[in-house]
Amino acid sequence: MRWLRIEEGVLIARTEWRRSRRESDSGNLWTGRRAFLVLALAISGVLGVSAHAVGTTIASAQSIRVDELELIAPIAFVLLVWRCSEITHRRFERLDADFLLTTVPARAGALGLLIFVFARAARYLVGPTVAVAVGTAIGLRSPLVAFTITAAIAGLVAVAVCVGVVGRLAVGFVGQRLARGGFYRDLFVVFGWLPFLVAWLVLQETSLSLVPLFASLESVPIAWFVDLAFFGATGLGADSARGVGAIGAVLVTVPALAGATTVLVRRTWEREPDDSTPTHGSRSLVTPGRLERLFGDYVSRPALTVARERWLMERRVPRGLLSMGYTFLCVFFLALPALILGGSANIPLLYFALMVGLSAGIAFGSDPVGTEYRVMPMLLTTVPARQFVTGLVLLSTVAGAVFAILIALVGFASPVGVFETILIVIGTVAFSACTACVSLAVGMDVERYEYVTVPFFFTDVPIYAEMGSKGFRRLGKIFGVVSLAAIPALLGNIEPVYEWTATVGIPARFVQFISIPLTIGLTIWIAMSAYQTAIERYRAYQIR
Amino acid sequence: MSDTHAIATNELTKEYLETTAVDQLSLEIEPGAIYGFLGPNGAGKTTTIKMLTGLIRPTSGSGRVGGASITDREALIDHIGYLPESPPIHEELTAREQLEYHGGLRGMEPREIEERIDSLLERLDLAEDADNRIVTYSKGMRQKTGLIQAIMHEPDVVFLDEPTSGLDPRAARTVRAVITELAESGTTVFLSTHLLPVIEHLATEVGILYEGELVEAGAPKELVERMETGEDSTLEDVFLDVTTTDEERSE
Repeated sequence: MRWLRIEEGVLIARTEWRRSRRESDSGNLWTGRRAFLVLALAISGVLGVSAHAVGTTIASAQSIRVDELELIAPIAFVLLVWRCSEITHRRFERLDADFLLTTVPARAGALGLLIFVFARAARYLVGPTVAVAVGTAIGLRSPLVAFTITAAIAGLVAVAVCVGVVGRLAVGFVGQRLARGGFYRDLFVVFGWLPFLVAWLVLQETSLSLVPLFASLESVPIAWFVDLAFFGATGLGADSARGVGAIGAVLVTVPALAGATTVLVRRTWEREPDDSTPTHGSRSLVTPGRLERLFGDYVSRPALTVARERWLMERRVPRGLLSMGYTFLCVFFLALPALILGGSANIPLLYFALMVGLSAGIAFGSDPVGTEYRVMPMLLTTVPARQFVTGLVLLSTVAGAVFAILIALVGFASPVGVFETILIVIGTVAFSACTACVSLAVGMDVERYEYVTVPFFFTDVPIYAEMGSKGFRRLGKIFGVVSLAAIPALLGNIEPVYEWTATVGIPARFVQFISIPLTIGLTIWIAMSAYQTAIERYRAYQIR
Repeated sequence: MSDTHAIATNELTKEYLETTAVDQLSLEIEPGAIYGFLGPNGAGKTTTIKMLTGLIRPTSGSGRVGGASITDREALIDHIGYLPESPPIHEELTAREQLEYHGGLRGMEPREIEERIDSLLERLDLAEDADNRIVTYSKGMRQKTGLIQAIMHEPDVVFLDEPTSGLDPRAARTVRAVITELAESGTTVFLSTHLLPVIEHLATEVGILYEGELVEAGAPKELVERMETGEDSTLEDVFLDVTTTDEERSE
């Protein structure tokens, strides 16, 4: 069994586990672990109680709805595969290929990766699995079910891990081998959900039935794991042949996919990448560009250079574009009250303006330390704070202003009044500048050592990003502060609010109108404060 | 400490929790000097450079570089150029774009930027690859790009941390020649390296840092002459002598 390299694989997995834990919990290790433990216990408790109730019901009815559970198994499997693929994506990039290739056979590295991904997945699943197994077993008064449920979940996870790891490595390998393959792969990963969304919308409109599709899921081998789970409870309708089939599927697929992992790891590590992205040709940063022509008389050359370089970097590594997804989520939550309670004609345009402003500001102002990570020592010893901050705020504002033209066109063609439209257009530009200022103020408060390299879409060069939830917390702060500025306009245009003000003598139309300049004023005030904070933080920034 | 010195520090100290990385460092370096800054790993050389370039604030003490206080980074940046151990360059850009970026940030005129870049790329044998992205560069090519970036705006004082790291002998020789030319044109070069022959060959003054303290300073020749071990002493002998504890000596 020595040829399997299990010992080395376990050692690699343990080391990677330690590394990943230190990367994500650098500051508050114990707080993070405690929070995770409490959450895991709570979820496990709820699942355990629910499983007990289900078990008791089944025991009294003497039958289970195996067909319903068989729909859940493939969905859970797909989610698991996706999660394992994500873990693989991050970890494989951080494995030191040269070190491992010159120390152990590639097989050990592949095995280490598989064990690591399995352990990461198991970390989240072990509590709920035990709870469900024990809860169901007690409810059914059948101790054997506890073992069969545990075995079924463990088997399903093992297959999902192997499929997730092999899938991600294969996708990476294709991107590495084929010229432009990586680009289309990333395009699919980032925007691949769009066809599904369109398909769902079409299905909604055409009222086509999905029942045949769901019915076909029952015959998928993954559904056999449900039969394996209830193998221990006789007389409940579980198909024992399919249960045995599930065990067979694990015994066949796991070794086969582990072998495929080894092949892919070796081939990825041992071969030089082809040119999948263009690497030749400069774009001048000194010849007069559009920004110089527009703002050359008012804005300094260093500030314009900051803006032009950020735009160039965005074209090569679209960090800003891809962070816009968070904006949609934030605006969706902000839009909920209006969707539930109803609002004036201004409301859709206001949300559009807020979304544009947030997107433009986040795209170019968010995470300045991560974006400029490599050149931070040069920037800090080259460009004054005001120029750096002004450059990025200018770029965000210009981007927001371009979309504000679209908002103006939509506004003039809609029932929204002309003055309201003009104000909302001004608000869009103000939101963009404000978001950029707040993003920079928040972003310059992050220590440089908190960043690690991670692989990123549309580039072969790893980017620098904060690990764990820190990046999301930073975005949360930005959304929180900018949303605060939007509150007057959003409140003033929500139906219950302007109807109530009308009852106390303030006309609804006046409230809807005046709330917009109020928001613009508040946005400008927040932007100015954040601008100063960003400058002060840049000035005080230290590279420890 | 006077404004006539290119670099002047007075009891500069940096403490991290319970560790003193740099302990009461006092330096006076004349304009146009090549100051060789030596010390074993962990002696505090990089911390000193970071303080002198304004990247970290000293715990106590003061310093001026090119007449600007090291705690006023906005004033300091007009006088300095800096090449850290790992060159601060974007891998997604080409060398020309990176250098144009730097020149633009410095507010240099476009024509001046182009002329300086072309001449330095040519000087350092990088002209042919200037329009390739840095991600395709070798370590030495990145180092050369970083060096051009540090000197292209003709600063009063340039800080070079291991500038010959990763360079082949021919490129290393070119870099040494560039450093000498810089000093001849009046630029002060603060040079930190482990390569003692480089310091011996180039430096007009040398300082040896050991456990955060400046244990020896002077012209290389003077330091060698002060050694009483034999007639063929080198700077390496001086370095080993002042950075060896009595315990290590007895072993």
